[in-house]
Amino acid sequence: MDTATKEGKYIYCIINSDRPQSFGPLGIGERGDQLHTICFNGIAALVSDAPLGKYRVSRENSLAHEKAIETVMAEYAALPVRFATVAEDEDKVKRILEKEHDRFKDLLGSIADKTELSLKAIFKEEVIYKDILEKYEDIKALKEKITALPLEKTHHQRMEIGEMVEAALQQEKQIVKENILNTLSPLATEVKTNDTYDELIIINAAFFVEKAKEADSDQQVQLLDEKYGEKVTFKYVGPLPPFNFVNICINTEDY
Amino acid sequence: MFLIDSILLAPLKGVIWMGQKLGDMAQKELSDKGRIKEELMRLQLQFELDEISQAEYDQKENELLDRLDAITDAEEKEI
Repeated sequence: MDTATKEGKYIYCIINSDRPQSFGPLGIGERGDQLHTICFNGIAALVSDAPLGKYRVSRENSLAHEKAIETVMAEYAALPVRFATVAEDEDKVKRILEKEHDRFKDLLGSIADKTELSLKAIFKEEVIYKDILEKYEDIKALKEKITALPLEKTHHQRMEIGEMVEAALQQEKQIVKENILNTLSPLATEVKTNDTYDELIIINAAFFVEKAKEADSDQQVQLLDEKYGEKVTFKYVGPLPPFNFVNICINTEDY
Repeated sequence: MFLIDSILLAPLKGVIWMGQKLGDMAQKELSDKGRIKEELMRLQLQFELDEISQAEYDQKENELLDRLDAITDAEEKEI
């Protein structure tokens, strides 16, 4: 069976619309497939023609997925559908919309006036270790002591200093992290902190914010940057599709 | 020894690096798939912060995705 070449409808998101509409040749896979809506009773799926099968989580594919949703977000509230959801044909998409109609409507209502903002804060490597050395007297003292000794005699102390620096780094991270959360959480209706997969990442968080409070949030991040910018890099992105707060999983085989 | 060398060259950064390595060993339990995904995220961040070029990014991403595919394929065969 050759499933690789079979065509289907790649589903990006669900919106409130009863209008068949095109949004440009931005479909996943770089073939110029048109983004378009498939409608049923007031709601619509944003889809493009695309092969059934597997999709790699490459930057190219995930960006195409995200861009498609962002394109319609200018006009509509969008419920993101999980990456790499492909239905066999238009009828199948309509069956999904019919069966899940009320659930989709409810969810669309609950996200309508909100947007996702994402913030990563990362310590600048060259600055933070210098800072720690200046701030933590015990580490500084031990380091000076070690420098005076022959290398082969300091194995244990070097392990010790490594642990101390590590602990100091955790402590510094905690301080900044709490400050960020205390500043931004009150502006959000929901907050999700994700894994920090690197030593130097202080926080990796998504904030679900009412659109009316987006400007406040922007301003607060600006202030945090003024406060910590010397030792912290901030990566602030938004408005984004609410990937961290709703992500519709559709098992196309069930419909 | 590489570990000692790097401590000598950059004293402070060296000890951190060693701490990291020890931490990595403790994390051996983590699944292969999870580890590859973490690496992908780290790679993406490096790219976003302009620490690596597009070409470097693409090449490393490709390697990681190949490894991920290989694991997924192996899992499917087991089932």
